[in-house]
Amino acid sequence: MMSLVYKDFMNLRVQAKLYALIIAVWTVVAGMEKNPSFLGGVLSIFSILIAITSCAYDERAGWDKYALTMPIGKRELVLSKYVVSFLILGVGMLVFTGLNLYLQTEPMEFLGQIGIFVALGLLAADIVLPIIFRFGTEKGRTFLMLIFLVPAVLGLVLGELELPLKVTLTEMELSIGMLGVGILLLPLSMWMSFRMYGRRDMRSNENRKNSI
Amino acid sequence: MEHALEIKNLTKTYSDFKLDHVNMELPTGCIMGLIGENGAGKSTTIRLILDLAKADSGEIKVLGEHLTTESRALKEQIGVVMDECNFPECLKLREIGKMMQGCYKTWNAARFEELKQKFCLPEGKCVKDFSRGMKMKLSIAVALSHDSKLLILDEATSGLDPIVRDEILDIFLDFIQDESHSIFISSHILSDLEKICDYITFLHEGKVVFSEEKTELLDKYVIVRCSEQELSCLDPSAVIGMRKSSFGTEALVLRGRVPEGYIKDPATIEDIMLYHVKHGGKRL
Repeated sequence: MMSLVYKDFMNLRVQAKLYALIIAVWTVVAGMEKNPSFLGGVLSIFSILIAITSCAYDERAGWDKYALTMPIGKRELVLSKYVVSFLILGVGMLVFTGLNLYLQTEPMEFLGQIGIFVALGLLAADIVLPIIFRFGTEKGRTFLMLIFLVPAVLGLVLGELELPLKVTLTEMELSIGMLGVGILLLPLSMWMSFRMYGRRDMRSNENRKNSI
Repeated sequence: MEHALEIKNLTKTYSDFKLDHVNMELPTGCIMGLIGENGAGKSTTIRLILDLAKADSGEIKVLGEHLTTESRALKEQIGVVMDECNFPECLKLREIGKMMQGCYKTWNAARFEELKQKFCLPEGKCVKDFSRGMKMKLSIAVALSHDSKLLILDEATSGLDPIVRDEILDIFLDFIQDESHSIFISSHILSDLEKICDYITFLHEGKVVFSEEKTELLDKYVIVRCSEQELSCLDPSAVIGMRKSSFGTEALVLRGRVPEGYIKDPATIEDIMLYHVKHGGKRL
C-alpha cells in the first residue's frame, strides 16, 4: 500500500507547490493577525481536498482499472486514500502547531483548537471518501461543499431564530466530542468505501472513453 | 498446464449490450487475437477475464486458476496493457519503477532498466509528455518486467505508426519464444494479428462467430471472383458472403466447395471478418 501512497505524493508534486504557496500565505496572514484558527480550518480542508485531487488524477488516467490488474487489492486502493488524507492532515497540523508555538498560544486553547481541526479533517474523510468511491470525484467535491456549507447555514439560521437553545460547550469539550465522532465513524466509513468500491464495475472508465 | 486461458459460456448483460455464451481456449505457448468491430464485446471480455466486471454466468480460468482482483500470486504472472497508458500523468520513469517494485514481488528492476533503454524511453519526462508510442512502450515495458506468463493486451497497438507497431510485434514474438508464455491480444489492426497470432477469435454483437487456428482459418476460405451467374452455381451453404461491384462479384467461399475453373484468391483475416459481418446474409 505504501507504493500507492508514494505514487500519490509523487503525482501531486506539481500541485504541492501551489498548495505550499497558499499555506505559506495563510500562515503569514494568520501570524500577522495573531489568529491561527482560520489557518487550522484551511489545513484540515486541504487534507481532504488533496485526497480528492489524487482520486481525480487516478480517474483521469484510468489508474484504478489498471491497478486492479496488478497484485493490488481493492482494500489497498481504498485505504491508500485514507492514508494520503491523514498524512496531509498530519503535516498541516504540524504547521498549525508551529504557528501556535510561535504565537505562544495558551496550551488549553491550542489543544482545543487542534482537536477540532483534526476532527474536521477526519470527519471530512469519513464522509467524502465513501461518496467518491461510489460516485467519483465530481460529486465528491459537491458533497464536500455541502459538509462545510450546511452546518454554517444551519448555525446562521438558528442564530437568527434566537431559539432558546442553551448548549454551551468549551473548545475542549467540542474537540473531544468531534474527535470521538470522527474516530467512531472511521471504521464505518472504511467499510462503506470497501463496499462502494467493490460494487464498482470498471466499465465506468470505459464509458469515459466511449467504448465497450 | 494445457491452456493459458479458458472461457466457457461467458455471459454478461448490460442494458445496451450482451456478451452471449462466449467460449474460447488459448493453448499455452500461443498467441490468440480477438477481433471484432467496435462494440462487439472485446473490451468487455477482457474486463471479465481480469475480474474488472462480474460475469452473469460462465467460467474463466487464467493460467489454470480463477482470477479475482484479490488473486495476488496469479496477478504476478499476468502482464496487462490497456488501450491507453494508465499511469498517473505526473509520474516519471524512475518513480514508476520504484512504485512497481513495491507492487510486484517479482519485479525485475534490471529488466525494466533494459527495456527502458531498448525502447528509448525518456527518463526525465512526465508520462503526460510522452507520445502515444512511448506510452504504449512504457506499458509494455512494465508488463514484461515482472514474472509475466500471460500478456493480455487490449488494443495495445492502435493509434501507433507502422514502425512502432512493428517493433512492438517483434517484442511480442520475442516474449513468446519461451514456451510457457502466451499472449491474448485484441486489436482492430488485423494485419498485425495476422502476422503474429496462432489463433483468431472473432466476436460479433457479443457472440463468438469463430475461434480457430489461424492457419486452418486461412486454409478454410477463399475469395472467389466471378460473375453473378457463376456464383449462383455454387452451393449456397458454402458461400459465407458476397459483394457486387462494377467489375463482377466477389465472395468468401469455403475452399473445399469451390469447383475447378473458378478464380480463387487467398482470403485474409480481414476478408473473413468483413464477409461474415458486412457482406454476409447475401447468399445466393
